[in-house]
Amino acid sequence: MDHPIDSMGDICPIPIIKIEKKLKEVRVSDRIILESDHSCSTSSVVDHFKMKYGYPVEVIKVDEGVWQIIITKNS
Amino acid sequence: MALPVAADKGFGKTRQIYWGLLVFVFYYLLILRLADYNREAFLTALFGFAFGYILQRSRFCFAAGFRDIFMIRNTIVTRAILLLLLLTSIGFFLVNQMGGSDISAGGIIYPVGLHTVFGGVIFGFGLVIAGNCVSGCLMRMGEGYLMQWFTFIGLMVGSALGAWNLGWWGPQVIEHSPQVFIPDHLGWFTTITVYIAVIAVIYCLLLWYERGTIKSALSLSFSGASLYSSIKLMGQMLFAGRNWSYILGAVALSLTNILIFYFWGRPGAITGGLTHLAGWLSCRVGFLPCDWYYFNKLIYLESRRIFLEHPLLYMSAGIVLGSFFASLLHREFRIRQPKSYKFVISALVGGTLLGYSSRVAMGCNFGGFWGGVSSFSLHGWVFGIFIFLGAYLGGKFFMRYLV
Repeated sequence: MDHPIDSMGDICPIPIIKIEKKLKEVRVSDRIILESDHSCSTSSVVDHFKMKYGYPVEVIKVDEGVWQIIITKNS
Repeated sequence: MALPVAADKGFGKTRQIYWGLLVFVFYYLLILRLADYNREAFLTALFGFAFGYILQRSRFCFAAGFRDIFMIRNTIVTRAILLLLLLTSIGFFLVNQMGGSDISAGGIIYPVGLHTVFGGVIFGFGLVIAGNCVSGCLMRMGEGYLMQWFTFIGLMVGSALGAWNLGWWGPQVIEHSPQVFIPDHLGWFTTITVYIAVIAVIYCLLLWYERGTIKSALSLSFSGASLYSSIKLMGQMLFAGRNWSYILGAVALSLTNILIFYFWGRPGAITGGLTHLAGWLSCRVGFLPCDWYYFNKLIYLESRRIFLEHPLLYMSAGIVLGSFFASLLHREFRIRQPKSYKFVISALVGGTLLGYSSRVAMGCNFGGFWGGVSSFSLHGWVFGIFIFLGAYLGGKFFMRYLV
């Protein structure tokens, strides 16, 4: 199941806090899709969940300066 | 809940790249003009643009380095900052040894005392609620964040307040505080060795704090395949629009600062220039900043400059333009509105705190912390340590009132 999070206009580190909160609620193999216009999150969110959690993370640029970051909870 | 931005709004047909080239032409004409009559401003504008470009591409955020340890138990950026400090220090040392520039004469070596401690704590608190440090503010202004323009207003107000309030801090505290240039006390060889050792130890401690193990710091593999893949990755970062890693950002930023130091004789800095802009604005609204301690009596102001001709002001402008150019070139520019009015207030308040504290501590994260540590001045270290304390307190406040 996909869980969207709207993070447009949020400042760091709120996107990460929102995702961590959501991760506790979702089941294994669920995906979280965060939409953000914060350029830093394409580095900081990706590194955080890839390197610390070991989850697969994908970034899609959906518009100028807007990205969707897709995180799969795999364990 | 649906996400507000749909994927198919005709993305890909836009012309940001052409606007980017136009910005570059404007910048080129500007530095061409500066080269004629103000060589210092020419150099700072030149390197400021490089700073802005690198900061935007690598998303190098000092604020995250100070804040993420406490707020999300993450030390990736902090460790990149350590690498930045190490490389820049070694570079400054080499420039010094080659006779290019004398660090003790040109470096950022200021008195260390109660003002450094106080400034550090306020600065750390300010950077968490503003959501950025001073260099991050300029970088995001170039990327189109409206929130950071409010931070900038705060910075102006805070810098003016700080410059005025130095009338108290100067005679009471700063003039009684010693300047500590570490190699004077330890000698060059010991200083460099201690620097490398201290930074390595902090690096491992941070890694252990984050992951409970330091295995990844010790297991560096050098095989042909990993070399090939890292070269390929580097190529993608430099030429194909992939985000630069924090490591690449740290390397590029330190190289740029070393080059500035070599050619200009001083490391890069920001708030000295912003304070002169704030002084000019204060004149416009009827104050008399020339009587303020900072502009009038401060011995470190080597020459009395006209407000708008301070070379560091051109470095700040260069950072904003460089980031603007980088974000247009990669089609990432966007006018970004803050999510709620709370962020506008926190940006204004945080910016004011940043401006005020960087004046009291005599530098921001850029010149005071990075430039200070790399110039082997003790005040840089003390300032940095107390920024961490302030960021810890700021994090508590942030989680309670802003999340």
